Amino acid sequence: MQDVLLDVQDLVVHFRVYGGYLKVLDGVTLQVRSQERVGLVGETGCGKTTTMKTIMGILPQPPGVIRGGRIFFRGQNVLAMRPQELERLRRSGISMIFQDPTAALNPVFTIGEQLEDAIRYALGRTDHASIRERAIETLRSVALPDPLRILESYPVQLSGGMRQRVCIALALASPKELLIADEPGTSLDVTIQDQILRLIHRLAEDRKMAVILISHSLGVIREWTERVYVMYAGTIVEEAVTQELFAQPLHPYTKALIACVPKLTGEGIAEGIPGRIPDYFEPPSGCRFHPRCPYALDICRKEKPKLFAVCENHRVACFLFGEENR
Amino acid sequence: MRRTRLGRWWYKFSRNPLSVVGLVIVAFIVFCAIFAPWVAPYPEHAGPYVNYGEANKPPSLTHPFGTDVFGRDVLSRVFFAFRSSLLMGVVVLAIVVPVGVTLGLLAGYFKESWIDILIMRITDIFLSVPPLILALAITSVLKPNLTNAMIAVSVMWWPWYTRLVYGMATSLRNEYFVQSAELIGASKFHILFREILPNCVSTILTKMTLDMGWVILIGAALSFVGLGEQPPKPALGTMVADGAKYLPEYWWISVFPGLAIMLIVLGFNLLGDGIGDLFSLEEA
Amino acid sequence: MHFSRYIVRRLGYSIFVLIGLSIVVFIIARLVPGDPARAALGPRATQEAVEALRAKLHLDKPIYVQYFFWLRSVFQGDFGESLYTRRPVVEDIKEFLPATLELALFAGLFMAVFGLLLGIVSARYANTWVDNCIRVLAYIGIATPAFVVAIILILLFGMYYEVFPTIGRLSPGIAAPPRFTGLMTLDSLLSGNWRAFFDALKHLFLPALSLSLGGLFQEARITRASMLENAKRDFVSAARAYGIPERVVVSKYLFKPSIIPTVSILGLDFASLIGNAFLVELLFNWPGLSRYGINVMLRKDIEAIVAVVMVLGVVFTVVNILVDLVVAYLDPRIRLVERGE
Repeated sequence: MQDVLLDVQDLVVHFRVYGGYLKVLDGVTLQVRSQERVGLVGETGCGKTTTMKTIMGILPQPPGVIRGGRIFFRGQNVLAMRPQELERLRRSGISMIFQDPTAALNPVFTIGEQLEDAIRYALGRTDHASIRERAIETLRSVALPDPLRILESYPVQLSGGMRQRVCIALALASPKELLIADEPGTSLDVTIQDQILRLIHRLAEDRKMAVILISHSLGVIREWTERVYVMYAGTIVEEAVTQELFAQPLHPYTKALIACVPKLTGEGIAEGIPGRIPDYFEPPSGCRFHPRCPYALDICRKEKPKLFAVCENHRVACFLFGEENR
Repeated sequence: MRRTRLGRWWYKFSRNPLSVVGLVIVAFIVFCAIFAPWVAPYPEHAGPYVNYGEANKPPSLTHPFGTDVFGRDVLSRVFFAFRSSLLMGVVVLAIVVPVGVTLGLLAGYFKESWIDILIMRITDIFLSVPPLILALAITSVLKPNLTNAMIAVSVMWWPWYTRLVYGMATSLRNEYFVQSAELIGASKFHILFREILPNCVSTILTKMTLDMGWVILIGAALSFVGLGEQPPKPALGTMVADGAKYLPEYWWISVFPGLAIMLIVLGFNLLGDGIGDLFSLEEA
Repeated sequence: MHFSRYIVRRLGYSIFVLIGLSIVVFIIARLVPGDPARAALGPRATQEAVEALRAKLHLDKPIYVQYFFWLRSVFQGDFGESLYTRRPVVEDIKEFLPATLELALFAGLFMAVFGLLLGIVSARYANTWVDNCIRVLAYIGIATPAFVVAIILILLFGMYYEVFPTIGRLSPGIAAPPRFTGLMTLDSLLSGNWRAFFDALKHLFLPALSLSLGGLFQEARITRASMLENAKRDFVSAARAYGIPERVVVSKYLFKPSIIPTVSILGLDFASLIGNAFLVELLFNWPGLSRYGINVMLRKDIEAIVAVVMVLGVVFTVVNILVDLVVAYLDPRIRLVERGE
């Protein structure tokens, strides 16, 4: 792949808990090219946020333990970076919008205090007036009215939508090449969520950023991304160009996921996927989806399927496809 | 392998060695208190016994904690003093918990009504002065003895339970199971004691275990100034105070009973934390 | 809600609570068996004299009228006369309160500063041997009553290695500084008497340490727990994600929200501190209000008991107001959001 910005290979992350490990990520592989909009879809708790935190070097360790894999950003090995290099990476390379804006904002500092700190350190500025100016500018860029008042406000004084915009402003206080948006606007109502996604899209275009959009909503993924990774229980099970994935889902999990979405045409009601996300303490052997899979073969219980390229734009990790996997 | 419910609890509880230490300490103290007449080397020393020939002996094999100014064995007196200490804890909690919890449930369930305002304002008044001070004042105007010490501490202790349960009840009253009980016309009594209370039990139990230690501590403080169990009956606080007059020569007279108080409080603290962990893990 | 409105509301509520406390204390004082007038005059006084005193003290009127008269005289600065010292209770309070305040102030300072430091160290080195040592010490420290700590300290420091004095506020050879505030350290500083200042500090050390130890470890535990809890929160990860240096993340974004619980429970710890002062002052022969309190209690000196409880209630209330204001200052959620749902 040419012009690869972010390259994650076989990432394995466990969490230390009392009496053992939660084996959360089990070989996550994904790539993002510059200025590309990539989607990552999967049920709640499948390890999307953990993957992203690991990429940014902000996974709390302990309890997190990186057991294997490689992460390259612009060809540099992120996992081998020293703390200062990681800080530089987060100031000019990657940034992240957290899932819950209320939890991501420090409750005891004003927005101004937090935003100005982000600007001060990311841009290495010391002049207070210019920092202030930049802060106001950043708030304007995320379409927040009355920036001066917002700078003086505490998170508790803002609405959910405003907090979400503030989080975007914080993430984009300095120019970045990759923006990770972790379920933006999920906690808000649908119209505001749409505005937020529109805003992220516009900012990405203006600033020539790549975006990883995490969501559990297929509608959102379909509308706003070019390429999709489907994640199940800590593994990537399918990867395709967005249109291709929706037109021809291959992995049984993806199929079930798409079947879950209620259709406007009104044919039938949505089906659920039987079973639940597996226990990460003792995950299923082989393919982690096999206990819920209607087509499970013997081999699925024994071996873990690798991603297999069905065609140029479509890869799937399932023994139902590809001779060499069988 | 299927484990019993009790076995699972024990497994969770015993994962923290400190909880087990707490349980062992508490079990040891309760055992010594109940079987004091048999465990204590000189049970007769618990009363008005005098033997000046044996007075002020330092710790030795015959008297592990030494003897006091009347020649009484300190260890035996400590074992007997556990009795009044534990009695104090049990009686005070038996009075305070039902009263405090009921008031807290009422105030929490009828939030923002006159019941809430009346109960919680009174609670705040009782919490506005350090408990030991008012307990001392109450005992001092009454006749100083163990019963009055228990009354005084009880008067000061119920507001903690009211406040604790109030906080839980105000949030529980908005839960669906309470609202559906209301919809089907359950009685107020049923809602308070059958719907809301069971959800507070784990927190109350944890606090009760911790409070056993604190109530015993405050009881010891009362007896330290002579406002608790009266001599010649042994009380830990009295023993510390009496021995304090003979520091540093006869240090064992006050130091060992003092350490015994520490051991009780430590035991109940560790046990309480263990029980708290048990419930929080159970819910997780 | 504006901060000033929060303050006004907080003060108003405290006044209400103190009036409530005065009613409770008044009722307790009237629980005493026997006739206060007879007790004051002694068994040989004539019936007429007793009746006259009863009328003078309004004891012949219903209890709520008595309360009203009592409250009025309290506002006039009259707490009655002490049977123990045979002088106005107000005079006694003026004499003994500063010593208790000074002791409580130093103990409170110890508690807050060292508790916070220990908690931070414990959290920084969480689950290492440093942390484990502090936690075990904390368990023991919290469980040991202040009067037992005092006895052990008197034994260790005062008598075996005579580094710190264990009796009173000043050594016998040192002249007390002129009294401005009644706080020995402050008075000696004001009069430039360094010798008295250091001597007073030395005298404060052991009693303040015994009073503060339990609260100190309590503070350390709370600080440790809240720092570790907050370290897992998204806002800390987020601050890192925005490229803020680790040093700033910890010392600012993690630190400030984490000390809020530590400050909040200072009020509670101060309650046990003032309570324990009753026993600790006795052991160190500290001429404070608490030692006076014990003496009047043992003599059933009702007027004085009521006064001591009320004065300490006021002290405790003031401390709680200060704690609440600091918490509200630190935490905008409290100061900006109306209480209730």
